[in-house]
Amino acid sequence: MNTRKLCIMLIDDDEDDNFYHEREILRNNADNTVLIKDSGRKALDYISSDEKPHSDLIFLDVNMPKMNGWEFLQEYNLLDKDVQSHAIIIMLSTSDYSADIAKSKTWDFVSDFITKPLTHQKMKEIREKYFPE
Amino acid sequence: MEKKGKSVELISANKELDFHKREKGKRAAELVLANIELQYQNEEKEKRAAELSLANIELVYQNKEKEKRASELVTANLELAYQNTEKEKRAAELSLANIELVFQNEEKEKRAAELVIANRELLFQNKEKENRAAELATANLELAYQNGEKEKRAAELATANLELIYQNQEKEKRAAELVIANKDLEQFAYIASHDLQEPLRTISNYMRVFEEDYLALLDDKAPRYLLSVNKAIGRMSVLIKALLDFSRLDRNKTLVYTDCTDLISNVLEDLSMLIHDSHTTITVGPMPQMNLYEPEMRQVFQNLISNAIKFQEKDARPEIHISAEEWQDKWKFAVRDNGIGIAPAHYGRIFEVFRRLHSAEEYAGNGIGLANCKKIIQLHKGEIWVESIRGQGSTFFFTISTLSE
Repeated sequence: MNTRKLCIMLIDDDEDDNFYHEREILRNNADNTVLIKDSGRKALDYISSDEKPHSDLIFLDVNMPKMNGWEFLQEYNLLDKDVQSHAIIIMLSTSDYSADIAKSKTWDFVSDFITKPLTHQKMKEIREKYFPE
Repeated sequence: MEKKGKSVELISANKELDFHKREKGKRAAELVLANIELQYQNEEKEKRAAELSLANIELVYQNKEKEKRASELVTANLELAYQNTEKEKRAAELSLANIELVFQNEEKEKRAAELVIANRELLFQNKEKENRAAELATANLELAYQNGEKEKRAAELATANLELIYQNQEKEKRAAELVIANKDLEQFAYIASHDLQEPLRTISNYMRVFEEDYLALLDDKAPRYLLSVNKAIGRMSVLIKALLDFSRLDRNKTLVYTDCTDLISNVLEDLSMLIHDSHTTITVGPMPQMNLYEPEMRQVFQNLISNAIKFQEKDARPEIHISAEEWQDKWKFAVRDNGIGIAPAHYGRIFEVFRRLHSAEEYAGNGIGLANCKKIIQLHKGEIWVESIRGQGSTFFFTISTLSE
C-alpha cells in the first residue's frame, strides 16, 4: 500500500465538488493534506507567496468565473520555474471534450486531464502513476 | 482508036486554051480595077502613115509615160513582193493558229457535248431541287409554326423561371435562417447538457456520500428507494452525455484521407468482444479510400454494427454484410443484417433524437445512436435510410460525397 502523505490543492469554485473530492482524497489516504482554493487568483497568491505546505499535486477545474482554468495556466506559466516544479497539475473538469483535452496538452507542465467526479479509485491510480514508492 | 483519043485530047486542050484566053481578059480588067483600087489604097495608106506618124509621136510619149509608170510599178512591185512575203509569213502563222483553233474547236465541241450532258443532269437536279424546295417550304412553314409555339413556351418558361428564381431565393433565405436556428439549437443543447451535468453530478456525489454514511442507519426499504434514484441518475447522465455528444458533432472537424477497409477493421476490433459473445459473422466487401471525418465515420459503423447485433431475436446468430459501391458521384455504403427488421412506418422516426421503438428493458440504448449517424452522414453531404423486411432483416444505406476542405 502506497502511504506517502501528499499535499493536494483543489482549485474549484464549486463547494459541493470540493467537499466530495476532499472526502475521496482523504479516503485514499487519511493523512493527505487538502488545500481548497475557490478561485484561480487565490491559488496563484498562495503558490507565489511560497507559503507552506507546498502542494505535491494540483487539481484544476476548467470552468470557473473570473479566472478560468486556462487563464490560471497562463499566469502560472509566468511564475518562477522553481515554484512551478513543486507540483504536478491535473485538469479536473466536467467536460471530456476532445478540444479541451487537446488544449490542456499545449502546456507541458499539465500532466493529465480527468473528468469529475474525482473518486478514491481515480486517486489511487494517480498516486501509482505520479507518486510511486 | 489511038487517033480518036488524040483528037479528043486536042479538042479539050483547045477548049482549055480558049478558056484561059477569056480568063486572061477578065484578069486584065480585074487588074485595072485592082490598080485603081491600089492607087486608092496607096493614098489611103499615106493618109494612114501621116496619122500613124502622129500616132507614133503619141506612142513615144505614151511609151515614156509607160516607162515611168513601169518603174513606179517596179517599185510598187517590190513593195508588193515584200508585203507578199509578210503576208505569207502571216499566212503561215495564221495557218498554225488555224490548226490550234481547229483543235480548240474540237475540244470545245467535246466540252459542249459534255456540257449538254451536264446540262441535262443539272436540269434533272434542278427539278429535284425544286421539288425539295417545295418540300422545304412546307417544312419551313411547319417549323415557323413550331418556332412560334416554342417562343410561346419559352416565354412561359421564362416566367416560370423568374418564379423559380424567386422561390429559390426564398428557400436560400429560409435555409440560411435554418442554419442559424440549427446552430443556435446546437449551442443551446451543448450549453444545456454541459450545465445539466454539474447539478446531476452533485446529486450523484451526495447520493454516494449519503449511502456511505447513513445506509446502515436506515430500514430495509431504503436501499430499494436509493437504487431507483441511482438508476434515474444513471439514465439521466447517459442522456445528457448523448445529447452533448450529438451537439458536438459538427464542431472543429478535419477531413482525413481514410482507407475504409482499415476504418472498419478498427471498429470490428473495438467490438470484438461483442462480436465474439454474440456469435456474429461479419463480411466486408471492397471499400473505397476517401476523405472522411474519421472518428465520426467510425462512430457510424460502430452504431450500425452494434445495432445489427443488438436487434436480433433471442439466441439468433447475427450475420452482417458491409459493402460499398460508386453511386452517381458519391459512394453508397450498405450494412445488411438478418435481425428483427423495422416496419416501414418507422423508417424515418428511427433517425430522430431520443426516438426509441423498444423499451430499455427489451433492447438497451440511449436512443441517439441513429440520430448521431444521420448527423454525421449529413456532415459528409450524404443521406442515410433504411430498407427492411420484418423478421428477415434490415439494410441501412448511406451515401458519402467526395469532400475537400
